Amino acid sequence: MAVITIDGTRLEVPDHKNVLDCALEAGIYIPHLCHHPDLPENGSCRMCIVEVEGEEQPVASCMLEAKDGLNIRTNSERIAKLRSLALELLLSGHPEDCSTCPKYGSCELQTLIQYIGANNARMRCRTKGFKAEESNPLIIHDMNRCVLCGRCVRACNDLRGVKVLQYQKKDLETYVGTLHNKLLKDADCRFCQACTEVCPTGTIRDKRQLIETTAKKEDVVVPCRSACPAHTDVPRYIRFVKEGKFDEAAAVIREKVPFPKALGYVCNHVCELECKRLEVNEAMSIRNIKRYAAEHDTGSCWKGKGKQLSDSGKRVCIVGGGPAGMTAAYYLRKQGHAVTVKEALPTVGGMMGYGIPAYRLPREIIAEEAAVITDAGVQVEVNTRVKQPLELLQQYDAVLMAIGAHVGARLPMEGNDLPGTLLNIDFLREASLGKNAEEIGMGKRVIVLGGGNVAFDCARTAKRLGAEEIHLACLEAREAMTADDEEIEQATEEGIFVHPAQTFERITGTDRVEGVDFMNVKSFHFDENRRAVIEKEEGSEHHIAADTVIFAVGQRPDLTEASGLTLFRGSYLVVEDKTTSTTDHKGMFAAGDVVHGTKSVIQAIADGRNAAIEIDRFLGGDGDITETLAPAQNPDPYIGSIEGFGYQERKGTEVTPKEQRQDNFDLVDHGICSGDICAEAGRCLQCDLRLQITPPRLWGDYSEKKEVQS
Amino acid sequence: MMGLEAAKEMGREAVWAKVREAGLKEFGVYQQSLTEKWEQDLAERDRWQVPLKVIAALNNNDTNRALLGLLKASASQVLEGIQIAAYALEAESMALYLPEGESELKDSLAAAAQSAGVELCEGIVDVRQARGSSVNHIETMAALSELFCGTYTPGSWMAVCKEGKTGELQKVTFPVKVGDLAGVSAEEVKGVLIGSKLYDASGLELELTQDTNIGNGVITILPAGCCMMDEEAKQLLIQRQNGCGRCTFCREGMGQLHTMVREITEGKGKNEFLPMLEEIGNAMSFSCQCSVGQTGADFTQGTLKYFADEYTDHIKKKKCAANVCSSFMSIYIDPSQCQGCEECADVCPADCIEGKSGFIHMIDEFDCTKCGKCIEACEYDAVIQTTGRVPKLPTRLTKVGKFKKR
Repeated sequence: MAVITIDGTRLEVPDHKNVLDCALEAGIYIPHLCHHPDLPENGSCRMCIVEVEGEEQPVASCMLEAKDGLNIRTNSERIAKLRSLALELLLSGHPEDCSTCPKYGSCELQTLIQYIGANNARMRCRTKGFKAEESNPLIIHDMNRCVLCGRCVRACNDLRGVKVLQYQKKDLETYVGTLHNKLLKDADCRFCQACTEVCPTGTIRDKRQLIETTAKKEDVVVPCRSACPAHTDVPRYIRFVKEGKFDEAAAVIREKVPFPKALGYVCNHVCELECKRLEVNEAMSIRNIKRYAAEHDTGSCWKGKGKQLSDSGKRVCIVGGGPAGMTAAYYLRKQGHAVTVKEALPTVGGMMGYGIPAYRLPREIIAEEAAVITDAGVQVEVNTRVKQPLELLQQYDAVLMAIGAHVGARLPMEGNDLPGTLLNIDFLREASLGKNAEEIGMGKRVIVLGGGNVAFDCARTAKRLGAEEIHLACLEAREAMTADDEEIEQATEEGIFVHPAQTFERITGTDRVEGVDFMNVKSFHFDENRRAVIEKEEGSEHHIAADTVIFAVGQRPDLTEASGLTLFRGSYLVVEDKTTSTTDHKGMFAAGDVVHGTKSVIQAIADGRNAAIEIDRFLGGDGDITETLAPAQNPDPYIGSIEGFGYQERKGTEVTPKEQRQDNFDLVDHGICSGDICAEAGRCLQCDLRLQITPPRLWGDYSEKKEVQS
Repeated sequence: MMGLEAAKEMGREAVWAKVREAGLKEFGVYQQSLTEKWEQDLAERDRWQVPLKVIAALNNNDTNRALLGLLKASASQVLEGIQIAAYALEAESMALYLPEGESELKDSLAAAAQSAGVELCEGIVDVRQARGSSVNHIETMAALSELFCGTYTPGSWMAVCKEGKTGELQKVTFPVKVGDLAGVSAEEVKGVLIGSKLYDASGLELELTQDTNIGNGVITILPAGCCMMDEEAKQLLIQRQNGCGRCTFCREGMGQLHTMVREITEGKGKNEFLPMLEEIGNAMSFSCQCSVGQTGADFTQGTLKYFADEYTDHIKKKKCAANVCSSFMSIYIDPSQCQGCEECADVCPADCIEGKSGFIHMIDEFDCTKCGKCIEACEYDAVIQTTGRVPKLPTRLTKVGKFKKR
């Protein structure tokens, strides 16, 4: 330890520590620019100069080692002049107008200008004349705004070990860039964006503007995690997978969702749409990484380790054993409440078990994951349809309606009730229950009306039930179809005819369905009142013969006013301001599709979690359902360079060949193979590493502190 | 390898004692007792906690590179010096830096360096990378080897640079008068550079001693006919190109100096430049981390001290007394001498000489860059360069011999 004096304040500090850090940590502000707490010192900007007793010239405090007896002044007339001169020099090549800069208001240089009060008036000013480099993914480089503090170079070289950014010289102008001005992708950049994070000016910026959005920084920096409705910690489990630690990875997923495996098969992965890697080449295969982790999980990290509060004596009834209901049940049980799930169908799982066909999600997976929930003490009553939910409040302290949307919609059109017309969800449910084509009432020539994933589930299920000719028609153009591309692709492979951009004129036939009349759509959009505006192609009327028509144009909840609950649009439950689960009946809550209409499994799970929090609070708990299951992860910020990193392609999955999959309900997609999984996980940009970097503290942060002290 | 063996035989402590006793100094810009320097290097190593590396190099600001001659003459000596230093400091690695563009020398050293375990590097020493290393001058390393071979004599290697050509390195024993070394008379000289420090002709009278900072060991003679502003602009340009661009005061400070001096030579100088040159120059000397920035303003400080009148001439009187700064000059064709041969028009790169065979040629002053090619091309000495008044000239094509002055 050494005792030093800064501006009359005696400080006891460790030996070898630099004086600038000592001062800043003690709340004494010394202006600085090239200094960053996470980076080796550069000692170049000369903002942090101080006078040392007994030394002739001022020295940079970031380079000054704390030694016993050091007596330092951070300000004097001479220091002020030199500091001001240093800033004037920096400004001589910097654009004059701050107000046009995207970093305006959050620029460290700008705050220094305000603090020191210098401008470029005495200098011979110049425009550096670099062209802003905007052709890289994620990152913009505008070297005209650079003051050569070198933080980005140190972040890239010393903090990350990527070594892409270096000082370069062009004529007499120094700048930061890649060797021979290669694009970042060609220079093997890892796109960790540490350079962007540490840049004090508007030189290196995010293409996704952090500055202009009101969103929280960590949500913008790690978009996969914020895009996930349940906020699963994607980068963390991907990192575990990369290291081959599948138990740890699965535990990370289990911290947020009780159906990791099911999600690994069927999640609609909105995370992948937001994945920053998408801008580099292709998004991470997040769902398949999750699936691999869940499939290879032995449970060693999480089994028996979760939270379980002692019994509260409160009773909760959950109506509907789908993902929303089961999730809420699981977390409410962990909060100590006695939970009963009432499920109308023979097994729990909801749409996972009766909507999504078994060739996409094998039923034993649902059973296996539901067993974890029942093992936790949740009581499940199957084949129990609740007719009067309000009556449940007499027996239970709280009731959660999570009944989903299990009534298919029938389009108001000619012939819509002819024998041979079927509804999507009825069809899928009966197929799931193991009925054959005859029992379901399906013929040999089938037309599915609709273009979403459910429509494709119907078409492909029809194929597996033995239909000989299957057509799928929808209003949307091919690009606008809401089904996943892989669904459309696999259906086409299986010989299903897809007809986008069609209007359904009428279902023909007298005693039973004989076919459908269609017209081609020329244009289709929604007007400002969200009403569909359709322009048909004249004379394009045509007919497709069929004996079965399946409506796959949406579902709604199985609820009527007779239930005594407050509904909107006929069958949806009303909750307070749409983000909560609380209804206007005290003790009655709602979650999942019954509130929002058909969404996704992950949305239902997120809803279930939210409902559990609200119900727990309602019952007198603290509503804290967070769990830490995975061991702590200390990711290495020194990620190094990987040749061709930006070009690494997304790994594909193994899919059963089309010849072998059309007559059975066996699993079609087998996920990423063991040989590829670590490589796929290794493609991750690790956006979360950026959050480890210490954010800038500006002089305003210090002056407030000083005022408090005095 | 005699010296290294001798050093190892006597043991580390004795090596230090011998170096101390001989009063061996670090050569170049950072003159100080070598053992004291090493002690500081060891303290720095402790501070940064890096494996110690002994680096031998020229000073970063040495663009003349005369002292590379030591390497060319006796590379083994320098390499041995590095090894002795590494032994004395218990260093874990060794490196020798050669300035950029010395690939021939680098190739010739490769085998010897490899067998000595010395890494060969190119360019100036990055002081930030070299933190915690012991950076020594090449000349120091040569002297160290001599010391342990028993051939060491006090003195420095020096060279004289005249008319842009650097002469042979010679071992100089102190004290010695600059004039005696340079071998020029005061009348021929306007300025003298000793290392990077500038003096007027009185610098010839200086007596160099063991303690004089002679920088890169080169005495540069600036002849009587030169323009100090022009020389200063050239020096600043060379050092700007030489610098790595990290330190604010080196990069931007030297940039300001160079821009101002260049504007002065172009007749665009302003009075307020002088205090700025002074202020920035003073700050540079202690605000940069290597010799490029630390000595980058030496020339400017010299001109401000010894050649203030040249600033006044250029800025206020708008003239260059030495007739060097072309912005202050006019070039015209004397109508009484021109023979209309068209030679000047043929060589003019700006294509600004009008005329045809048998007619008096005329220079369009607006486009003329004052490159002087026409002066050399004219066989009749008809193209005149002057800082004085231009006589009356023809304004339209006139036959040779037909132009009347009045």
